[in-house]
Amino acid sequence: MSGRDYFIKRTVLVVTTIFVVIVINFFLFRIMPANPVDILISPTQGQEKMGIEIKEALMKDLGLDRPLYIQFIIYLKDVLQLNLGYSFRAPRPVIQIIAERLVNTLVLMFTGNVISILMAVSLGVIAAWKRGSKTDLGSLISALTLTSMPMFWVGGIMLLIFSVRLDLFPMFGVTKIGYSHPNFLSYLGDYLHHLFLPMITMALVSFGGLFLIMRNSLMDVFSEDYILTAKAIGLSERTIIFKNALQNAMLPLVTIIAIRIGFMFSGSLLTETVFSWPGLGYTIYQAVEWRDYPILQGTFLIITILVVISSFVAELIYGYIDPRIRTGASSG
Amino acid sequence: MKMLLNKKNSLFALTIVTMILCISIVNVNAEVINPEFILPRDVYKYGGDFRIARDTDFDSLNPFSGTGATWMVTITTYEGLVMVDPEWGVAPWLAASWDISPDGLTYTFYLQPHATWADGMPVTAEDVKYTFDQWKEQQLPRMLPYVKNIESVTVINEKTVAIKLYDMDVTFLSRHLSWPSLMIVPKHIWENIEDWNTFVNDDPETHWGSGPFKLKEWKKGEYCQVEANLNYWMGRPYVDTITHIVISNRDMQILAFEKGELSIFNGLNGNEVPRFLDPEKWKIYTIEDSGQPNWYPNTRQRPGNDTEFRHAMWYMIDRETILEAAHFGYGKIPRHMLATPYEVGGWIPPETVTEPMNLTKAAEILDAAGYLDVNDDGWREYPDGDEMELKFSVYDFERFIKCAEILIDDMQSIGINVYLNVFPSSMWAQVHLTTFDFDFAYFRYGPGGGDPLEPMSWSTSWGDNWIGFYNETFDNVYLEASAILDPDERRPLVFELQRIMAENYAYIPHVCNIGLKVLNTEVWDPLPNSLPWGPWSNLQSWHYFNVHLKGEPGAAMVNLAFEAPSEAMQNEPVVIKATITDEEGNPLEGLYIDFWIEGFTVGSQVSKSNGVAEFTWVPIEDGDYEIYTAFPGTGDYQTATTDPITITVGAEEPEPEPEPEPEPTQDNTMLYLGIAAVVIILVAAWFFMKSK
Repeated sequence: MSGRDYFIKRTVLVVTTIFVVIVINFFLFRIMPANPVDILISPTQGQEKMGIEIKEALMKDLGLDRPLYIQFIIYLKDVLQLNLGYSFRAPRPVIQIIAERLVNTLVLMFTGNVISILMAVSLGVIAAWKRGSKTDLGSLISALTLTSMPMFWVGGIMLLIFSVRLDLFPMFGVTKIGYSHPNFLSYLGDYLHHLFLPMITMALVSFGGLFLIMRNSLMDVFSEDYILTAKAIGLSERTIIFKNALQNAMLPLVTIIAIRIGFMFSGSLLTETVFSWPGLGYTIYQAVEWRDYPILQGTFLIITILVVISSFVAELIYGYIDPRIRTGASSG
Repeated sequence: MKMLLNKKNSLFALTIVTMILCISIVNVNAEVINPEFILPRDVYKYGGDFRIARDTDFDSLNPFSGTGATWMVTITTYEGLVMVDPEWGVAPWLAASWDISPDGLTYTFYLQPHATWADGMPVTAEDVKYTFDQWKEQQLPRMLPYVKNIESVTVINEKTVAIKLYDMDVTFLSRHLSWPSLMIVPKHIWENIEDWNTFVNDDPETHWGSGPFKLKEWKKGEYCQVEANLNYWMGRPYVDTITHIVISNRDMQILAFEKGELSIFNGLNGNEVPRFLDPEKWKIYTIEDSGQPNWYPNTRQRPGNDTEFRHAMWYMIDRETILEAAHFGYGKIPRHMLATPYEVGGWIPPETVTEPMNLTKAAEILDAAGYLDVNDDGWREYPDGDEMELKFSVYDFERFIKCAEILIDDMQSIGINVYLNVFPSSMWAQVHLTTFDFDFAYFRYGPGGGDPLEPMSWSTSWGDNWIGFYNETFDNVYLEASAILDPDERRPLVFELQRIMAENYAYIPHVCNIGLKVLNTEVWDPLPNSLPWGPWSNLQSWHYFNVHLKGEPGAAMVNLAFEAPSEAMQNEPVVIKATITDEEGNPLEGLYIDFWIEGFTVGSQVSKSNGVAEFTWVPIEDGDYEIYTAFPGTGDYQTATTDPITITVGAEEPEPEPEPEPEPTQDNTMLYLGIAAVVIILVAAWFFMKSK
């Protein structure tokens, strides 16, 4: 298969996947128990006045009194026009709400995962190269411990130590309350100060799994004949690791990262909740509570698009790292 | 003569009727401007940022379309006509007083004479009319049940408005107490808004209400901050800002509170009290909950539709254990069917109907009613022999689950086969209003205080009667009670309604909760009187208005003086200049000076570098006005007040009538010239002819 055919095939797959998700998105939330109006008038949500009358008026107002197929046609038409509608709870455009939050989530996910990957790769290389050493053992135990810890627990401990006891980092939000930043650098510094704890928490929790994959993958590679040959011809340790071993060992890591992108969003949900980080994860959590269909549909659609595109990019990278993937069909 | 007598009699009768009508108009309140539960404005320390955690983000800042978190902000920036008072009654707010017509159909509200919007414009009857009219016109779903009984809203004069109802509703005022959406908004801002349903109201430049605070900043997803409205008609509040911070996780809220990031923590559990017992650092406030949790049978189906089964339930409840195990001691055992706070208003009958648990008696009643274990499987069957398996539904609130578990244990011990069904709180309305999928439910209803007829309407056959209780006598007495305007006359019937419910075991009163809040007293002064920091939004609005920093106003003395013209004219601006200096005469910058006219703060201004704070006042009516300025004090300086002076405002001179335009004078020069020319021509012609 030529590179062009490979690209076209993947693109068609991406578009189809997104369309299927759009359809599932609509019906999934409507088969959930309780409808959004029930929640809007629920006394548990601060609404003291329950009543069938309010319920009927809200149903009409939100268009939920129409037949399901009509709702679906309207939804499909709107999505194709990139109109994700208005939130049921907040009378604001969904796209606006998502845009406000998406940046925070992407920053948290990106920085947390980059740190996690860097830690996993560097420690994985050292542990694999010095297999059986104290460094290897220490890294292995740390990785296993961190992997087995629940995210919200790690986050809580981080907050307790670094924020409550040592008062080094803030407990919530992305910037200081009521502070007017004189310039962008001041804003950036404040933002990073708030980002540090959730970012490190996310990095620590996802580090363990990536480290184990990297270490095991490298150990497999180190036992290959071509590494032995490289050692025999007198190449330096550095050359062997970075030129020969690492590229081959990266293949499973890239695959795992691509698969994990969807899970990263769920990881960010917990992190955002613990650190009150106003991101998309936290928005989804609230939208599920309130059965806010438009927000849920919108966020899931955006996340799906991001995951599908990320997987698409990962596959292209995979094809680049390992040409056998790209040409597999024609050679097979 | 007969005709004359008849006419005389008619006139006399008419006069008498008119007098009776005038006398019988119920004047509910004398003119009260500042409710007594508002603290004086000049004796406590000003300043500070009062921080509260909110577990959900604000959906909008529109009081008419928002929900819980939104109202916590809008109750500080907007105001309603009336509010609840510490004795659970109705107190003045934007309405200084009101009259109710003898037929109970017309409510005439007299607005606070000095109330203004945050931009300085006066609050008028037009604003009230516009707000009420728009609730109807905009078809706001949440307002519809309220406005459907309003026939018309009429402006009587600038500060008086009359609301006419279609049908008499004695709970009309009480509804305001628990309905934080019922806020009055400025017409001059909101008339530019097309769709009130989608209006987010997040612009600090236009989020102007008449409340003690105005919007400063809403950072979506993070926090919402309001700042003191310096022109508030009851004087500016003590705190500079209130910040509502979004922290969704409860444990993180407690951590943030303990660290000092929050000023108050709401929703403390009884078992957490020992963490906050240090009187140097914390003060715990207890709040008697207006809502009473009750144990409800589903009277639509068996066994809930059997009065004898409900009679047995009456003896199955162990309130003492529930109080200790589920409420950790913070609760009250009710005497009757209504929540204990109604004791204050005298709405609960003198006798006690709730009884201690007596499982033996409960079993005897069940036996006598035919609920026996016929097949010896250990569980009782229905009288007709059918198996009985009952569902006890509660939503996922820890305390409710605990209460239900205690009840289930006791019921099972006398052979009732009942199991617990916990559902998400989001499904509450579906279970209770749509599917009615429960045999027993546990739920807290939350009336807003005031008149108990409002929560009682839920037990009528036409109300939101979700338990399905139906009793014709109850309906009739309810109708009779709801036609009596005078609360004292109505009281016996309200007692009667409760007795009917108790005699029919409509539901089983549970344990009233006592809520707990804890204040950080290292920074904030505990409030001098025990304000009921209640669950209702407008109760919290007083609290925000009264809360103040710890400590006395500062020790250093200041000199405060002001100057204003002794005479002014109606509708013409009057500039009042106050100067504040320290003891050595150095000007003080950045201090708030309040400007008082006729006993009201009409505005506050900050002193500039020369120590001068300037305020411009436009007198609307003529007369003598007593004016003075006051400095409320800070952490460094003591309070100071100037002696008053009187400004005499003269009536506006009537516009002089425009003098009639002088008739345009005709320019006759050309005429004279023409005549002269004709004369000359004629003379010349005469000479010419004569010479010929």
